[in-house]
Formats: sequence, C-alpha cells, structure tokens
Amino acid sequence: MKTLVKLAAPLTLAAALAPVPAAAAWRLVEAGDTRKVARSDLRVTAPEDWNRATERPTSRSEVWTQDGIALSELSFFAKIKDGETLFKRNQRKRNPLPEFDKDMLPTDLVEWYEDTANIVLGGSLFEIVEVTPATLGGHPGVHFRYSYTGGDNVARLGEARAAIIDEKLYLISFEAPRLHYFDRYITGVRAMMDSARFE
Amino acid sequence: MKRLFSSVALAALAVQPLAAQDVEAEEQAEVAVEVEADAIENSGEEAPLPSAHGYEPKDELEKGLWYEMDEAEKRLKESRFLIEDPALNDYVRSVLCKTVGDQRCAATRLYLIRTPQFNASMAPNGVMLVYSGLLLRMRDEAQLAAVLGHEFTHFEKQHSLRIFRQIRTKTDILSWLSVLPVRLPYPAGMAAQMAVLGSVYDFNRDMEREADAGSIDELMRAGYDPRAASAIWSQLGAEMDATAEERGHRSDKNRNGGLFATHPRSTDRMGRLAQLAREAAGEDAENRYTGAQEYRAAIGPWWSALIDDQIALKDFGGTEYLLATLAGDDPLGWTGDLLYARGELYRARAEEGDFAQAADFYRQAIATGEYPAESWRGLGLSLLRDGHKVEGQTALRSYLELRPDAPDAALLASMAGEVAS
Repeated sequence: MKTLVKLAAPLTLAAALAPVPAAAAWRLVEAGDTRKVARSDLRVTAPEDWNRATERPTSRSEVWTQDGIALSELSFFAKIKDGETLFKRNQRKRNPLPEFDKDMLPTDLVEWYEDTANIVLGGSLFEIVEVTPATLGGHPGVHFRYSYTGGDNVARLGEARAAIIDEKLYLISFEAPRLHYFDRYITGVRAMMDSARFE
Repeated sequence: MKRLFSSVALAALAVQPLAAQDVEAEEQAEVAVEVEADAIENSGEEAPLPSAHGYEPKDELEKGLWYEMDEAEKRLKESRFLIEDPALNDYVRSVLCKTVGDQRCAATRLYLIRTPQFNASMAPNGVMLVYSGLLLRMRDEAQLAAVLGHEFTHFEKQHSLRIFRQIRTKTDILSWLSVLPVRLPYPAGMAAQMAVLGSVYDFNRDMEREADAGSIDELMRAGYDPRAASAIWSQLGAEMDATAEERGHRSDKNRNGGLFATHPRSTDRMGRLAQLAREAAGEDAENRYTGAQEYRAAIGPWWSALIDDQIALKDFGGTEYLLATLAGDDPLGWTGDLLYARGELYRARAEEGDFAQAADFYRQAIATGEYPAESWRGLGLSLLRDGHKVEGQTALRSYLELRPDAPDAALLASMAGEVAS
C-alpha cells in the first residue's frame, strides 16, 4: 500500500504525470484558425473555439481543452523519437513507462498507448474498443477508440490518431467523460484529425 | 503505512500549528488513550466478538469508525473496479465460509476488486476486500484460505480498532478520516474510499503474529494443508526478487513496503508460518486438502483478464517468475494459457531475440490444442516484427478466421494484406 499511495491521483492521462500547472495561461484558438502544434510542422484547423495551454506537459506535446482538462482533453504529441516515452518519466526504475520504438507496427502503437495509460492511470480498466487503419497528415497510420475509468471513478471515452513518419511518432488524442462531454466534441475532433497537414 | 499516517498527521498539524509544538503532551495523550482502550477491552469478560450475530459497536469511537466505514462501503458499491461476476464472488465467499465456518462468515461482506496488486484487507465493520492480483497469485484453495483466515483474524481480534484508538489523540477520529481522501493521493487504480478502508491497517508485529497463528488454526479446523500459508510468502518473496533483478533495483522482499507494506519481513514470517504448520499438522500435512484443481476451475474464466492486467504492469522479471510458479515443476504445467501469456510478455518487452522467443511460445501454445485465439495474433505480429512477412500475414489471417469481430480486425486485415471491406 505504501508504494501505491506514492503515485499521483490521476484523473486523465495528460494530467497524470505531467500536469498543466495551475498557473498555466490559456490562449484562445478561434474557430477556423490553423495552427502548428507541439512545436512541429503538424498543422490542424480548429472547427470551433478551443483553449490552448501555454504550458506544455513535455517539450514534444501540447494540450487543448474546452471545459477544463478533466472534462475535455485534446493532446498533440509530435516528433517522439525512438526510445522516448509519451509522458515524462517520473519513476524510471520502479514504474518505467514503455518506450516508443521506431519499428513498431500500427498494432504495437495501440498496445504501447494502452500500456502507457495503464501505468499512468495505475488501473486496469482501460479497454481498446476499436482499431482501424487511418491516415495522419497524408501518412498511413492508425485510429483507435478506447474507454477507461481513472482514479476518480469517472467513465471516459477516448480516440487517438497516430502515425510514424520519418521514424518519429505523431499522435493526436482526445478524451472526455462518457457522459455528455465526449459526444459533444468528438465530431469536431475527428474533423480536426482529418484536417491535420504537414507544411 | 507508518509514513502515511505521519504525513497525514503532519497535514493535520499544519492546520493546527499550536498542536504541533506540543509533541510531548501528545505522546502522553496517546498513552492515555491506549490505557483507556485496554480498559474497555478488559472490562467485559465475555465481550462478544465482532463476528458474532448482532454485534454492535461499543463506544463513540467505534461507532464513529463504523459509520465512516459504512459510508465508504456505500461508495465502494458504486466503484467500477468491483468484480461483480456472481460465480467468482460465490466461490471466494465459499472458501471464506469453509475456512472460518458459516456462522462467523455471516458477519462478512466480501468485495472483489479488479487491480493487479497483491492485497487483501478487512475493515472493522466486516467489509473484506480481495484484490484480483491476489487471486492471480494463489496456486490453490488452501492458499486463498490462508489469506482469508489471516485477514479474518485481524478483524475478529479488532486489530484495526485498536490501532485507531492508538492514533486518536486530540483530533477526533472523524476528522482524521475526513482528511484522508483529500490528503491521500490515490492508491493506484482504486477508488478513494478504498484508501480509507485500507488506511487503517498498520498492524504491529504482534498483531501480524496473532493473525498468522490464527490463519493456521483456521486452516487446520477447515481441513486445509496449513503449509499453504508459508508457501504464499516464499512465492511472493521470490517474485519480488525477480522483479528487482530485471529492473536493477534492490528487492522489496525485506522492506516493510510495497506488497508487504502491511506485513512484517516476508522471510521471517515464512519461516515462522512453516514452523507453525509443522507443529499443527506434522506428518499428516501431506494428506490434507489443497484444492488446486478446484481453485483453477473457479478462477479459469477470469484468468486471461487477470494475466493481461499483470502483463500490462510491464514487470518482466516478476511476471516471468509468476508464470513459472503457476506452471509448477511439471513441464506439462505449461498450459496453452500460460504459454500464450509468456509469448505476450516477451513480445511486449521487444528486446533483441524477444520476437523469436515470443513466436516460439505462441507456437507451443497452439500446439497444446487448448489455447487463446489471440495466440495466432501474437504469433503473426511477432513474425512481422522479426521480418517474416508472409508467415506473419498467414498467422494473422488464422486469427481473423477465429475472431472476425476482434476490435482491431480491420487493421489486422489490412496488415495481413487483405483488401479492407
């Protein structure tokens, strides 16, 4: 029990290991704006107004929200290199996060995301609902849907689009409570994933 | 757990800085409370046990504790981490009732929690929690009975109530409890209420000895092989060694933490339990009931989910050891399920040579004739990663024939070179 209570109280994935600080500033992304995300050449067009956190969870990621992170969380990850992890490594030895491998198959990407989530969330109720082939910025990749219950006992749904491009991982994920919030935004988020382009 | 309480104490003191300066007075108060508690315990010569029918809390403190535990239980019932499968719940309950007898068993409400950790606990109001990680690790019914008997002894001897009387100083017990869920980060994968239920278990060594001895008594009375109790600790100790070796840190085996947070050093207790079992059963132990087959049958439908939870922990060393103990010494003990799990473990580690090893384990699983269909999926993906494209695609197609509705069927079909419909 002692080991367990050392872990943070994760509500959502991005909030878990690398929380956006309470003092983070937010900037508006207006509907129709096209922006580069996660300090990369990946550009998305926002179909409606979003709030972008100026503090980044890691140097390779960026978080947007509508209602606050626990209620709607859109994350962009870009240029994750071979051997890197999705989130910051807090407990390198005792609770290691799985590393990205440039040779991963599309199915491996999904399992890697699931394994990362299971460690970050500390639970085992994460379930992959559906996995389909997809493209991201014109590159072949994978789209997957998942559900999970985190430490706050709130049932969430999530969808992610990922591709390995030039041996680096690009991933966009969205998750929100099953009740109301997920359905409210997912259509727009899917459109945004479809709109993703490289320079 | 001591650290836990001290951090909570610190939090409480921060709110009441005056109290913080008066440590000595507080210690005296603590002693006074202990004396008071002993007085309560010794007052009635034939005080009813908490397992007795119609038992009611005796004083304000115990009433308050029960109230909080009852509230926590209400929230626990809402938890998505509960395993509600009636067959599995009935089985674990039947083992408990067989171990402690139907009458005492009636005082217990049993909850199975889906979390890969090894743990079980029992709250003063009769709520027993059994984690699925514990169920995965038990090799037979006697081992499960040993754990349940141990926790039941803590309950019946009111160990947690005694601990609460000790920690109650100036602060009222209810405010202690109300601090807990806020101050405590979540135990991984569990609801906060379980942190409250679990947080009362900082038993001292005498209490643990008493519970160990109690578990041997219960095993003997119920007809189980009492050696099961020490076997649990030797298995777990070795598993922790294996985890530590692979990850390159010191084993938690003899730390009073991790899986053993609420228990004394595992090597000490293992020896003592083995000795108790020898004294209790002598040569007769060989002939006593272990219920290995019965246990496997009961856990069977859940096994693959539980091993998936375990593999997701990415604890290669510990899981490899765990699979080997589940297979036992017999080469035939490596069933299709275990071989599949071993393939998943190697494929997940993905180090040099692991894909070839994994493919080999999947093939062995398939050769047993009784194996999870996912063995074909694992085989296909391992072969693809290892550069054997055609064979890999063939294996994926075999999987899709068996599981056309798999969640990732569309993607696998495209990877297998089929035209997506």
